[in-house]
Amino acid sequence: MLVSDALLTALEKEGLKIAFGIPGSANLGLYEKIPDHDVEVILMRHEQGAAHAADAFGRVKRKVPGVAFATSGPGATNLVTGLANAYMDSAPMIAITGQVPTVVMGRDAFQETDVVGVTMPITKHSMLVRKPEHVTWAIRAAKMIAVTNRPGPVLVDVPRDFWRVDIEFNWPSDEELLKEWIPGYRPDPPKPNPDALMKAAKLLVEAENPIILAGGGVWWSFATEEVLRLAEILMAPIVTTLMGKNAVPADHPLVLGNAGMHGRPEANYALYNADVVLAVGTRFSDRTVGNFEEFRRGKKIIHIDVDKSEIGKNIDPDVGIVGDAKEALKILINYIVDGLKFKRNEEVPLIRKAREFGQHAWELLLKERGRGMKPWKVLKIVREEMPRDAIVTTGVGGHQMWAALHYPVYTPGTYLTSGGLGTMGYGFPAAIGAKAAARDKPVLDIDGDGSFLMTSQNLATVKQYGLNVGVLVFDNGSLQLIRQWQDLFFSQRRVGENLAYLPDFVKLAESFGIEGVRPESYDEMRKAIRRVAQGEALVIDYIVDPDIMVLPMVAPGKVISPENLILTPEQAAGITV
Amino acid sequence: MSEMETYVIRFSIYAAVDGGLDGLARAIHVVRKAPVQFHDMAVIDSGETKEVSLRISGRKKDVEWLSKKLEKVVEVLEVKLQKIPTEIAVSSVQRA
Ligand SMILES: Cc1ncc(C[n+]2csc(CCOP(=O)(O)OP(=O)(O)O)c2C)c(N)n1
Ligand SMILES: [Mg+2]
Repeated sequence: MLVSDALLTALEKEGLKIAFGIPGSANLGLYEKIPDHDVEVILMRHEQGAAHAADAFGRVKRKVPGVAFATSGPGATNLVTGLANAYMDSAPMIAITGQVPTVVMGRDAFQETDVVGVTMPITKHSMLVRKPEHVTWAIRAAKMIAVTNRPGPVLVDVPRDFWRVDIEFNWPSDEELLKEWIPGYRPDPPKPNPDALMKAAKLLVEAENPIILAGGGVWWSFATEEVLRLAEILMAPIVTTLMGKNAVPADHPLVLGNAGMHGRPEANYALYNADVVLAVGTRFSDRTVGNFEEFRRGKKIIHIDVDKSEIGKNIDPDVGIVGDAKEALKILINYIVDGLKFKRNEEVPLIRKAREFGQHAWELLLKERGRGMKPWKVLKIVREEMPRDAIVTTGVGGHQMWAALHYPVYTPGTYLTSGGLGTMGYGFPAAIGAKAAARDKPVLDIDGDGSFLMTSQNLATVKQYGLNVGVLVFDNGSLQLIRQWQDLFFSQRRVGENLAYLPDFVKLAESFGIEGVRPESYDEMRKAIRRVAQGEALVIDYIVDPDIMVLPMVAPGKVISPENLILTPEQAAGITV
Repeated sequence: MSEMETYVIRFSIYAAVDGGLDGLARAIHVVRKAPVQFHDMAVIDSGETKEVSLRISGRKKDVEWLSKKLEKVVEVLEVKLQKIPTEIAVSSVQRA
């Protein structure tokens, strides 16, 4: 069997039947054989988009990574942002790149880039296939590494002279793979330590105001149910990180929403004032807590994470538990319910206080300000019109923070945002990838004009493959979040944020054969969103005032405490960062 | 600076598939980003594995974190952390 056929057969056997990519001379030998296999390749218009689509596909499917194909050199380097993005958000994906022929490798051959070297620090693993017969081993390993333990992106680089080499098809078992190929890799998370779990159980039971901080790991470990159950036993609030927003239903009575720099006031209040924090599947990013030392003060922290290098990295916990979140929480629940015979009947006092604080804050925050349709009202319409299980993706910027604040996620796994890397341009190709993973669901990308412009060439892909997604473009003619930081923290010097000469987004969509609309009232907006909810591909040009700041926010470096929440632009005066 | 101590981190890199250089490079990328001071490194060929010993100084917490990060590198088989008594560490650093 030819190496190209062997690779494609390996993809079939691993259930990796959709790939996003762009061909080039180094992977044409692979493309040549695609028609003979049950693998569909979706032509993206930039490899960055292919990587984001694959990342989003993996976020939706969880145990089936998305696949991105690219040629050597520029094709491979164009994947870099997407790989880094997937790495930061622990999304499983596999990039398969063509490499220059072995005889010229290392000699600056045409379109040669050492992509394995380039991507080493931004992938979970990367490998050059050094012998033709290794190709199936590499794909098997890539799949295993991408989806097990803490998920992440893996890159496989194949020299182009291999594609037509005849090999014997070889399909290693998991045991062979782990023994002969990747003996250093542990696919199974470590078993959580029972003593540590008992200590955690006692801390939670004795706490007056415990809280659960849910991160993206809750989604990856299928632990939503356990998080909710534990919260119900403790009658404790759940707050989330930005990634954790995707992991718990926002309409559960104990969920207070996402905390962090642009978090909901009630969530930040609760997180800051809790006496025991149970953090699950989060790396305690600076965007979630602001200032590690100050956040730590006066609290007991229990940290559960599958990755032992995360425990104590940013915050030293009182109890660190390494293991799978679902498994650890199951045991913890067992200890609390059966061991300690504990069940609280009333909500912990913190919840009421947090809600009161939130109410007061929202009164200030939702005061009419600025011209035109207000972001929070538009997002309310989005939520009302999109089905509970519709998928939403976002770009990066002010619109992303508006969405984090005002688009509640009801069904876990339906909110894809670039949290760790903060990659403008993620939202639109991610929507395409999500649609390919869940064709029965409506998909909407809530995007910024700046972000959308970075990857909007993929409108062609939407049209070509009928991957109907909607785009709600926050058209503010500005890199609004940048403008906001300049206004608040950089002497009001607006430099390089003005997106002059934007395209007409309606015409841009139309030029790709996709409809575009520019709603002028909430009613028209509702009609447009409804079309997306019904599965149409549609670009909605939402003209929004760039001077409406996204608030609340906490200045960078400051601890995310109620006192530090900026609720009005005036409150920001004099804050230095 | 008083809390800085010198350590040796020893680890094996699986080298049977590709000779071990990629694993070594990946491990070095991890070390580069750790808040520690790098002194020196030795790599010995041991057939299926390459045995690496890395001498660094740093705070205990950071060095332990680095060891955990190294364990995550797919090619890395085993990581052992050993503190070097201050006298030896100082004299060998001066020599180097
Ligand atoms: C690729 C990339 N470049 C630069 C940035 C820095 N950045 C963060 S938000 C932002 C503005 C985003 O503008 P837009 O997409 O229009 O969103 P808005 O803030 O206007 O809603 C920029 C430039 C980034 N996050 N990603
Ligand atoms: Mg904008």
